[in-house]
Amino acid sequence: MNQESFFRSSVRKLLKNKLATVCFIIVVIELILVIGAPLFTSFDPNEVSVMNRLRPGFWAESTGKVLEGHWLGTDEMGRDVWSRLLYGGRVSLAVGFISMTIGITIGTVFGMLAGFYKRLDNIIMRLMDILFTFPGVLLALLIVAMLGVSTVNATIAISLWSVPSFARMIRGRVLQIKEEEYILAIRSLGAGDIWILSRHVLKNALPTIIVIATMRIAGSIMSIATLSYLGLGVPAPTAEWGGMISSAKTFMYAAPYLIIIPGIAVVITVVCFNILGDKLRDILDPGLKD
Amino acid sequence: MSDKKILFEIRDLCKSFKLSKKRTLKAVNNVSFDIYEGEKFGVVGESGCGKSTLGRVILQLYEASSGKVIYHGPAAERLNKSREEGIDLCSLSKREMREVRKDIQMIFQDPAASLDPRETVGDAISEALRLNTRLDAKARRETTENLLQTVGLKAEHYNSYPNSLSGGQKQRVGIARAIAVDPSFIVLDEAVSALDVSVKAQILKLLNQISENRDLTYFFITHDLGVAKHFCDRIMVLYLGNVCELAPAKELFKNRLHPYTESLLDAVPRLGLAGRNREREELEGEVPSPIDPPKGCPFHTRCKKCMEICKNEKPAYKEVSEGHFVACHLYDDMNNNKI
Repeated sequence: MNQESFFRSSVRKLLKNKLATVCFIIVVIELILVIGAPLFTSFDPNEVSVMNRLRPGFWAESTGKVLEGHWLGTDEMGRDVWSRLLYGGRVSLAVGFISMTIGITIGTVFGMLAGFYKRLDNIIMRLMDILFTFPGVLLALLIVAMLGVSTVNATIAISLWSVPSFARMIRGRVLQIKEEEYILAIRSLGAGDIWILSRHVLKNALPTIIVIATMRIAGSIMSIATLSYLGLGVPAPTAEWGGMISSAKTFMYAAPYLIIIPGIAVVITVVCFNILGDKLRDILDPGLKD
Repeated sequence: MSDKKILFEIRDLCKSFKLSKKRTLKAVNNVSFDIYEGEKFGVVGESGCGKSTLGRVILQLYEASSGKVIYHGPAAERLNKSREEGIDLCSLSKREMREVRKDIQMIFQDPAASLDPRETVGDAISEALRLNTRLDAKARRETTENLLQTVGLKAEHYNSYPNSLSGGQKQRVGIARAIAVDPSFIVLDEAVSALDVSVKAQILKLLNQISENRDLTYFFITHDLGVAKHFCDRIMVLYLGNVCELAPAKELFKNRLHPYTESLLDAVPRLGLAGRNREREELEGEVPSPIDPPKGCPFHTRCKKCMEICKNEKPAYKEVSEGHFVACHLYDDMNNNKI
């Protein structure tokens, strides 16, 4: 009686869906490109070359302006766009993942405590409400303004920004699980709260957590791009998609590709993670559907 | 009966749920009875009469509003009291209660809902061992496989998830988990009600076997009088959280005293010609709401033999013959015969 593990059966179901499979493959390719960036480009993303500013890429082959090797062209300081895209993706995805992880960890702890203990519910959820009332960007602005502009501070800001919505959703799920009969059954076996929370509530809330985590990665990548665009995220000259768009806006007419290329990268990544999250939700947690 | 050892003394047990500031629901109202060691104690009554609540209050899964649940089992000695003295479960701290939990277990009505869907059968059973014994992983696995066999499952089921088992098999897992820690008392909350007739018979047989081999006491909650008649030694009839009648099973079916018991037993459909022309005492109306229970005898609104006194005064709960208790004004004069 061999049972397929929960994880494997969900992946199998996910790959049955064509759209989800395409998104999954795109995300995997993107991760390979970004993590193995030095393998796919020979240029330093920060190497300035004043002689080779604003050279277009492969689409302008016939004009003769294209530089050998720079297939996506160079930017306003003569840096290779392709390597900036790869190294910038590293930062964007890393900040996205890390802030999502921090956010979901704190959110899960708060959500589980609030859902499980009626006494803590009001205190925690009102605290979350206070965080929630700030528009996301404003909250991040506030934090970065207090702590100073740096990648770490931007990550902290984005993590905090996602805590309240995580906490709220997980609390809702825990409120449901708490009333299930198997929790009572396990309590009657002599289990304490910590045992029940860590072994049963968490395990049963896991599908919900995976779904909102996937969706949240997209949001976090958008957030770091937004902050960088506003000059509050990753400080120059480190490449980052939002930052690339921001510094290219002066040359919007002369070199539109400088905006379009990182823009497409952000859109593809965000859309893929959102679709994956959507499909995962259908598989893992049909109850979460609006 | 009197020479039997008492395992549980339930005294004036009440449980009410606060619905809002003004409204409370009295689920269990001033209930007192004894449970003897090794017996199968049945509790019957309509839906919502407080059967399940009573079971859960005894196990301290719900906190009692008032009253005592005095336990004379082995856990009393572990908490440095003599068995005769017993321990009042309602007054124990959380830590002391955990010590008692080993002794008292529960089997639930819906076997599908009472097993964690993300936990394998083996893990569910060995979890009981992990929580209550100091066995190492290997010993736990061995014990679990033995338990699976005891309840009629195969060792291969160890790695199955509950959703791949049938209802009867799930209930067997529930039983295995409950007996894993060698308890002395098990509350069976409608444990066979959700099962097919043939599976029901098998599970009841299994429960019988287990109680013989392991010296167990059952608190058997059911709405199925047929099952109660054949399975239980004594039966208690509950109505709106109040005890109506308590008697040995045979005595109750032969010589029912309370009008509610009478209509309850009459409602059981019978096969064959025997009951064809019998007059049935069918109950009319609905059970009154436990939020706003009637004054006097809780049953007087539906009782055919209702007298003036029933509307104002709650009947006392008294022993009318050896081991036969009833709460009804018809038997106020301690007369054993029906009026």
